[in-house]
Amino acid sequence: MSVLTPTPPPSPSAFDRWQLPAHVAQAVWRGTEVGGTAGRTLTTGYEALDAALPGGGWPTQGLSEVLLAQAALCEWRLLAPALPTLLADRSSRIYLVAPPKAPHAMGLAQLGLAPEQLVWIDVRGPADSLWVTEQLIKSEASGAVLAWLPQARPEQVRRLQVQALHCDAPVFLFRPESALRDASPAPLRLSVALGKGWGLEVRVRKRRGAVSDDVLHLQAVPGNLHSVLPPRLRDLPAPGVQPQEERHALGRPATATAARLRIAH
Amino acid sequence: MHWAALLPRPLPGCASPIEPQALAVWALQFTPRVAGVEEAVLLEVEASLRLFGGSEALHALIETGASELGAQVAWAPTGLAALAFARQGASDGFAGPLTALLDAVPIEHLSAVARHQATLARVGCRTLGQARALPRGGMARRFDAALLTALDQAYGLRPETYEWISVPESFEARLELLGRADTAPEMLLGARLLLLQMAGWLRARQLGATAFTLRWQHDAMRSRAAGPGGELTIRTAEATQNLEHFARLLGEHLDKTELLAPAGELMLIATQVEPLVEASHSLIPDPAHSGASTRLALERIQARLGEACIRRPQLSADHRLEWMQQWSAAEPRRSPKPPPLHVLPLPTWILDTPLRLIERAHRPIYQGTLQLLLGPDRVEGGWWDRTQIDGAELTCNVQRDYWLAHSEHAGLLWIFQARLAGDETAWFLHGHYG
Repeated sequence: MSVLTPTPPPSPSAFDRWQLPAHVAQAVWRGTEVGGTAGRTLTTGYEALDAALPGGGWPTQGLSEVLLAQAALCEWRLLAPALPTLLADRSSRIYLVAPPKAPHAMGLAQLGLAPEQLVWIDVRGPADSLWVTEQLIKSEASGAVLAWLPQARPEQVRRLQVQALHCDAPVFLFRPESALRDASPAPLRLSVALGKGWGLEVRVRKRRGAVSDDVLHLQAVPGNLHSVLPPRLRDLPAPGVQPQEERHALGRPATATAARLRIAH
Repeated sequence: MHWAALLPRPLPGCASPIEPQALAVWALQFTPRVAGVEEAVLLEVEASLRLFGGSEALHALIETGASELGAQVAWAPTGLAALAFARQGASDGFAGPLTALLDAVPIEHLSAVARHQATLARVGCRTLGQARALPRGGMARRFDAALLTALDQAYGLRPETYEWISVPESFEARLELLGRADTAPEMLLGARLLLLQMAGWLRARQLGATAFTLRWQHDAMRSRAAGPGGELTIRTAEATQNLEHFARLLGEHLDKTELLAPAGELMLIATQVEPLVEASHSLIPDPAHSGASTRLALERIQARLGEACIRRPQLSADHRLEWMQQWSAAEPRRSPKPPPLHVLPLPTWILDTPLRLIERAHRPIYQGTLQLLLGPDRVEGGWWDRTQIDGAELTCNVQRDYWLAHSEHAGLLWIFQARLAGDETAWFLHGHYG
């Protein structure tokens, strides 16, 4: 009778899943990994953000909830790099449901969004804007749906999410930061704030896969400003160094600081 | 041969069963071989089976439509047999051999035989099978020739001849409601029946409707002021045959309609039709199709929330921010050459009217002191442009120095400094680079 020598249990660090058979290795998921998505994804135009999102970009077949401190803060700065590729097909449109301010078509055209591909649906009242969003999602709109739904309740968002499962277009819901108090049925939830200089600070509040506490710093210079920015403004100076102008002077005083600020382009 | 018999049956909510003529017009979408026989409609669909995806799919399609219109459907290899089955209440004449099924049908379900029911009953004939078993020579001598002809046609021994109904040039259908409709949405149930008939007619003629009119007649017990009735014309942007779309549009419009008196009778007219080219079906899913359903969704949104709620931009060559673009409900004209982009980087959000900013130490303030980044860019002119506001004529002349400004909390802004009366100047916020 031989003596059984107990084998020590393998330490977790020594675990290499690629030693497993291929089909098992594929099924193994580690808690630190970013999950995948069912539908196709669209690159966001920001490498850091792509890396943090499941599937490497904005998801389709599901909602993306973007939380902002105030409406009309940085929606286009966040989305503008991704949207022009969506509009390559001439029949696709960008649907704006109840935007907080009037969009400016020429400014958007400078970002690469053709005016004939923009549709602004001007609705008042939370019930109507929810209904419009749902109709658009249900009709499997091609392009993208951008909806500002500050007052939507979680069960209403859940209803949209169920509809969005069949929609092959990204659907963005813009909501206030206070929506963080409620759980969200949307599979992706970001909160976006203005960062230092030209930057945007993005926190991934919810995603498929590992929880992320990192703050992503995106260098989001509006696309139409790129060509006119002088080199000294590539890094935005810290606020506070403001030239003082004299009240009694007529017109515009020609102080040294003011002259330095006014660089024509 | 593959025959269907549609037998009108009374529907709950309607005063009388559907007219065979209206039923025939609806049925013409499936086959050109439609005939009115006595109180029923016979259609021969053998040639259409493949087009509609096989007999099962076609059966389901016809049965759903017919049950909605209020008609009993029966199927059989011959037309008279289908009619006899429909009268009997049986539906499928393909369940077994035709002879066996038809032999068990009572004689009163075949009209030519039923005419001699009294005589036949006296010799103990109750079913078609028993009548068929009688000696032919004696039958021919004793009864008229029509009886033997009908029996032979029903059993498929002799060809059936009918005069086919042709598709009418225009569509008009009416419906009497059983109860009075007191509110407009109540009419929708009856109107849906009419829409179903119209969709059938459109499909038969390969047309799409761009406008249809629903008329209603007020009940006889109305007040004098209410008038004889009312009407509602509904237009769609694109010619379509889609019943659900018609019904939803009509529903949205009826929700907003107020009836002056209860309505008793409805009438539907296809006012404007256009030839419709059906897209050929493809194995590969077509992305263009989804655009079409979104257009229908936008139309529904417009029907509920008003024409003006959907806005599309039109750029114009102007250097003033407000007049550079117009948003209107019309589909934008796609110009052959897109207008050149403005030389200045423009904001993506614009304020309807510029917001005057307060100043502290001669610096504009908007959610914190503004840091002026780039500027000034002088935009001046517009003396040629006049608008009427409250009766007074104003010139849209502007003289502004635009600056790109940065606010710690509100992001990038497009602000301008303008000269007020006297030597005063003021700062205004005009747009956000949001």
